[in-house]
Amino acid sequence: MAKVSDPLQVCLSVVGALECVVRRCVGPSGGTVIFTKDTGETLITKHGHRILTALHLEHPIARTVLESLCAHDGVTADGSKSFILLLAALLRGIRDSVHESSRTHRRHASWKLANQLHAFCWDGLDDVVAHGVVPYTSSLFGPGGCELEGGVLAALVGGYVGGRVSPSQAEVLTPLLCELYARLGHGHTDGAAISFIHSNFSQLHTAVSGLHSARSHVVEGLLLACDWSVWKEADGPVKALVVFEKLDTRDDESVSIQLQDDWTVHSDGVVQERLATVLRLQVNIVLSAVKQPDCVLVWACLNNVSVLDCCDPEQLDLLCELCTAEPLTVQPPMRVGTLTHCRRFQLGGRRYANVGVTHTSVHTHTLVLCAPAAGPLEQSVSVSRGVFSMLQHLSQSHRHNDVSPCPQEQRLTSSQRLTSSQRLTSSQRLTSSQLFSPCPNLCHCILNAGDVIPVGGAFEFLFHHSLLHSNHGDPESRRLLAEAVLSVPRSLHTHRPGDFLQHLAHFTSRLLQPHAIREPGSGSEFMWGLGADGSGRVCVEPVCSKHQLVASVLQCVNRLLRVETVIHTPRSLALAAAEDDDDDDEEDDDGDRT
Amino acid sequence: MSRVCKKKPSVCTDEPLSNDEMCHKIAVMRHVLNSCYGPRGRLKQIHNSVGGHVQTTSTADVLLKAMIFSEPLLKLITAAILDHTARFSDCGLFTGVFCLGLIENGKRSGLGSAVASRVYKYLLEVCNGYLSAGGCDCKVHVDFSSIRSLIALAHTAVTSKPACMLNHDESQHIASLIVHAFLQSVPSGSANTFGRTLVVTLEGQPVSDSAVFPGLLVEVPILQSVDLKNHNPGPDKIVLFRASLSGDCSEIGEATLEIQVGINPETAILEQLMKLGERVVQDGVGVFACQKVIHPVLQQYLKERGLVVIERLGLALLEPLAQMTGALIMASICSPVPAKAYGQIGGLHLHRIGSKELLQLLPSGEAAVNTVVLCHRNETMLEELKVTCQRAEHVLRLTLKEPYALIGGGCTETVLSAYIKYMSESKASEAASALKCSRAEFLLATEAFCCSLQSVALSLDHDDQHFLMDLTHAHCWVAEEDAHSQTTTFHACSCGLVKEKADLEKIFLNIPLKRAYHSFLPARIKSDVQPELLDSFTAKINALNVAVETADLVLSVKYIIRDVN
Repeated sequence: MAKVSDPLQVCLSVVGALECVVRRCVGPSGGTVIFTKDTGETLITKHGHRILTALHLEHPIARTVLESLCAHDGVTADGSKSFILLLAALLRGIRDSVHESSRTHRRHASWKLANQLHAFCWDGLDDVVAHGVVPYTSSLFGPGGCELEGGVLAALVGGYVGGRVSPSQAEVLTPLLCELYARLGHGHTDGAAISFIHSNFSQLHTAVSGLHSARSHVVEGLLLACDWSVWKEADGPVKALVVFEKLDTRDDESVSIQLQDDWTVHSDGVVQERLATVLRLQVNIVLSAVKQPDCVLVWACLNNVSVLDCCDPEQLDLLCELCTAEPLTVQPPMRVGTLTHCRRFQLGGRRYANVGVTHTSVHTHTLVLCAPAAGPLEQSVSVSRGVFSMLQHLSQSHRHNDVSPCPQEQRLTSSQRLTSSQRLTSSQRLTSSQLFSPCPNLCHCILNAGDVIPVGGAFEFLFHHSLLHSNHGDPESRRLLAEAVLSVPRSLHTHRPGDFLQHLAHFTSRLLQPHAIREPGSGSEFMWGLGADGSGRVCVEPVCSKHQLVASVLQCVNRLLRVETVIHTPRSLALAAAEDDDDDDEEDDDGDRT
Repeated sequence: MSRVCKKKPSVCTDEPLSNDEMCHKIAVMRHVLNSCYGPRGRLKQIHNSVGGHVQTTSTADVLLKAMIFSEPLLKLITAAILDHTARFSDCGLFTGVFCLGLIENGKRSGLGSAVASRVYKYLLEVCNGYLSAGGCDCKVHVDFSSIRSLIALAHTAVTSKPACMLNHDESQHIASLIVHAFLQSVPSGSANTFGRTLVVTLEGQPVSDSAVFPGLLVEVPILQSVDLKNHNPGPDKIVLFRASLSGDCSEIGEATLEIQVGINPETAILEQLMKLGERVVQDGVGVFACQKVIHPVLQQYLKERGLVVIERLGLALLEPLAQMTGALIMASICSPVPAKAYGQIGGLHLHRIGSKELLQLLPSGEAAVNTVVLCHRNETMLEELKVTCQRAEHVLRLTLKEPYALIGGGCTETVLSAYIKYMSESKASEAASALKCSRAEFLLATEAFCCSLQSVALSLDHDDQHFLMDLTHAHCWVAEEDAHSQTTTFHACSCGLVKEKADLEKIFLNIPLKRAYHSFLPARIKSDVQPELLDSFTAKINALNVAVETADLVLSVKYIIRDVN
């Protein structure tokens, strides 16, 4: 059942098909894809990873690519579209370069190239990025360079959001997400706020459809998507009781209705007792995860207690955690904590409950996202979630690599290197650990370590240039990679190919005069030429994720080209592996078995 | 074990907007919405093939909810319109017509989706800036000290729905009723919760019988009404029950029943009910109301003691009743009613409207609950009238947040388009470089935007009238063709703000060859004439934004991938 055809050609046609889908969605000018199901579900997205996972890919090669892509996405949470573009361009380059050789040699030649690229990935890549790209990027935002409006965070978020939603949505989302981060972190710019938002994003946002997206805003405190069943005005800090079960749950037979001759036919003793306990705690609010029975509501009305029922249990958990609510030793389980305020909240004609909590490090705020309909709303929500997972990845990679000259020193060394970039020896070689320098302050860290670069092709141009002028590994494979890398900015400018050439020419002319970089003004000029894409704002992306992208693509190419034959087997792979270790579906070099 | 099916590959549509079939579908949808727009709009009749209910409507909300679309793009647009109307009740058709116009014109102009979307966004900002600025000419301040602008708003909302089938006097009457109900539902100083307006519909009565009643109207069986007639009309205590008082054991809820030997549970519960009744009578309660059924023996007992008994009230009436009377809704029959739980009513009145006997419960204090009785000749018209009235009341409520209204009759659209055309032509070069597109592209997209705005104004035309725009104030004029003399006469523009003058130059909007004009800044109007037609400001601003945003999204769609599994 093995297919007799050129494996390279097969790979290329499969990857080419994926590229076709992805290419039109690249960058701020890219379009969107709508997925629909016959069940009526719709997904509107520009997010590369979501597009590719939503397609039902059948072909084994496509699945291999997707697997590598997911692995890459797991590391950087970014760059899925570029992955496909780069992969396709690289495969095309390899095909063109082996085209001359005879058919039998072709396979061998492509293998060799793949191996060389893989080898380059291990020993040359770090070096090229560290020498060719990092010095330039650090000069951009260093002293005398350009001041970023709204901070580097805004630029970073802008870069991420810009590639995933339409420009007008991005304009709304970018400042909003930065505001959420700033207000939540309350002045502290460390990673705690990021990881807090990242892990609790579903509780920290409220989605409202039917309003236009400019109505999105940030609200102090938590927003619970339900209205107060009983509302009594309360000012200042209030004591709140959190319950997850009905207050009249009976787990024993002792509570019952007794039909007797006298007036009190029955009174639910235990419930009354419980309510009395609650009242003794001087609680003003009852927050409940389930609908409370009517008798509890009547009790609350009579005792000036506000009741909010049918809350999201996860939000309640978060609330308990934030206000360090103490559990009570009664049945059903309840917790008591203090809230800074509780209000009614109107949002687009619907009522919400707004409660505030104090916590030592985070200042809870809720992101209110608005969009005209459910589809675009879902898109905004998933992009906002994505921003924080990207930032989380970034801040974690900083923490993991703790070798550290202090940021000041580091800046000094990098500018020294800049002046004497010709004299760099291998002992002074920058390693990737410099890219991930540890720093408690995320923004400064990104800025000082110089590992952000304007979006729109700056990385690719620099990388292209330094690849051609480096002396690592095989020149043929370097040339291939250098050509392929340009495919990403090229597809950014598909609507106007002229722009791409203009940028490239501009860049190359700058790079040819190394002294120009040293001048204070040159950095900004270098950036303004590219960074602003439509909106006039500067957007940046982290170099380390770009670096990772190149490495992942090289590994994927190697993985694809090493496959000689694809064998379709009706057996489950897990079973087959248990029986025979060699029997592998995708990387089977042993030849045909059919 | 479930069967494992091989999944079918997804169906992929490439560049859906360049597909002719898709364009046709969009054009059909635009025609459907277009033809509904305005006071002369064409009605749509909705019925399914198996018979049953027939609806006649021209309201976007009703129409789109009844229609099922197969195209994801149309679904998206529909969802945007429905979500908008769910929030604002008004301007649904405007959203649809404008959004589809933007899509069609944007596509026709041949610009890339990114450029079109950037320019649209820029122009939208210009619109928003103009409309929210103080010196905006299409904006009218809603003056709460006079009733005129409120009446104008309500009247425009009522007349724009021809399916209500109202003549001039009837629509005036309905508009004044809506304003009346609205003003009554606004809470006065002390209470801070907004009042409610309930609607009772009566079929077969003339529209002029419609009226607003303070308090609640409860339908009562004719037989009971005899007893009610000799009830004292003064204020009274009221008690409300949510729990069923039917006396069935099963209604008590989940609990273990512990029954002493020799006791019949039904009798015991009935005794309990009777005790409850006794206590209520002792406390001097005049009205006894329950959401569900009341046991006949208890009913009889209470009636004998001169109480008014209302059963099967329903949740929709129970909550406003609790709000109005301040009573607590009792949930259990097992404990006596606390004194705090009793509410107060101002009195009872019996009304007979048409075939129905209605008991009016008057509020005792300031509670802002009132009931509108709407009458119409038949069911379909009545349904549309009900929707229209609720819509109009919502529009009036929106003015409380932002006390503005926009001039109606298409004038807002023409003024806005003239303003945008002027502003963008005067700043074309700067704007184009800021938006990273060429000047020509910018002007093309502007033209598409202005055309779409004007096409909304033109949608008001359904009888081959001539629509004109004057070149001073940029208001919209409708020419009534006079069959005898070839001349057309004007008195005022369609919103009534500008009066005809000899030196007012006009161009035809719906004759393409006569449309070209030099851009100009719409001149301010110096007169104290009140416009006759007003639209909701809040709703229209949101509609404008939603339409542009949706159009952006639709234009940017490159692929539609349908999972057929």
